[in-house]
Amino acid sequence: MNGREPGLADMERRSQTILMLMILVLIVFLIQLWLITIALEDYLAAHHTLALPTFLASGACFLVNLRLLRYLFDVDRKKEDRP
Amino acid sequence: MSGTPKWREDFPIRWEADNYVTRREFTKFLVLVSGATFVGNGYFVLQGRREVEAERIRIEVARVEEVPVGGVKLFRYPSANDPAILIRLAENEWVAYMQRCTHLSCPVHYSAKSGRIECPCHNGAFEARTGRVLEGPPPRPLPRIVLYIAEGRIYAQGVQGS
Ligand code: FES
Repeated sequence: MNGREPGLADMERRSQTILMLMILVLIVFLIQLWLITIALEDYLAAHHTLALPTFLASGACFLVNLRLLRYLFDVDRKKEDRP
Repeated sequence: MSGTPKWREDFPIRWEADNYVTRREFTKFLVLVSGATFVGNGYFVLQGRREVEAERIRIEVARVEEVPVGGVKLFRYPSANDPAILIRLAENEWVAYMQRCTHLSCPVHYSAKSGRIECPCHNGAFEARTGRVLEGPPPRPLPRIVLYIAEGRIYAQGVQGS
């Protein structure tokens, strides 16, 4: 299996990194889904107290996701830099 | 070139490379959806603000002599799209609720005989005095409208959440 093709092990490693990033983004996104459910429930109950905190928390989650996306681009760029 | 099998020419992409690209694209898509969820959450902030603004308005709902004991009057509050129901439970006892069932938004009606507010869609029922759920699928009480009575007139001024 080893040494079949140059760069294969590297590709696998990067693939693993991307998988890890994907799982992290997914976890953060699930937190956002939970937050929007709370906001909806609060809105339907004619309360207006949780909309803003959940909005801000969701924004923080989105920023985390953007940061992870940047990291993903970095990983991607490294691949393209390779001759 | 001679060492490359024919199938390799037809399927030049390796599994590893394929996995890499699909995972990368899916992650990008997830971030996009994450942004959309954030914006969606903002909708509730705006809507909440709008409702709080609307609830500052005091509107006249009825005159006291207009509604007999056990009678109701339908009105719209806080906006023209929000049906509401005013109920005269006793001589000096008035309550008002949003008329939308908290289950799936069917209009509820008051039954003087049973003293309950009933929803015909799935047989949900609320207590007329408090708005709490008595039976059926509604998950939460009816939002109550705050009333103000002065000089024989009844005014609505705000919605109280469940
Ligand atoms: S809509 Fe009222 S009980 Fe279902």
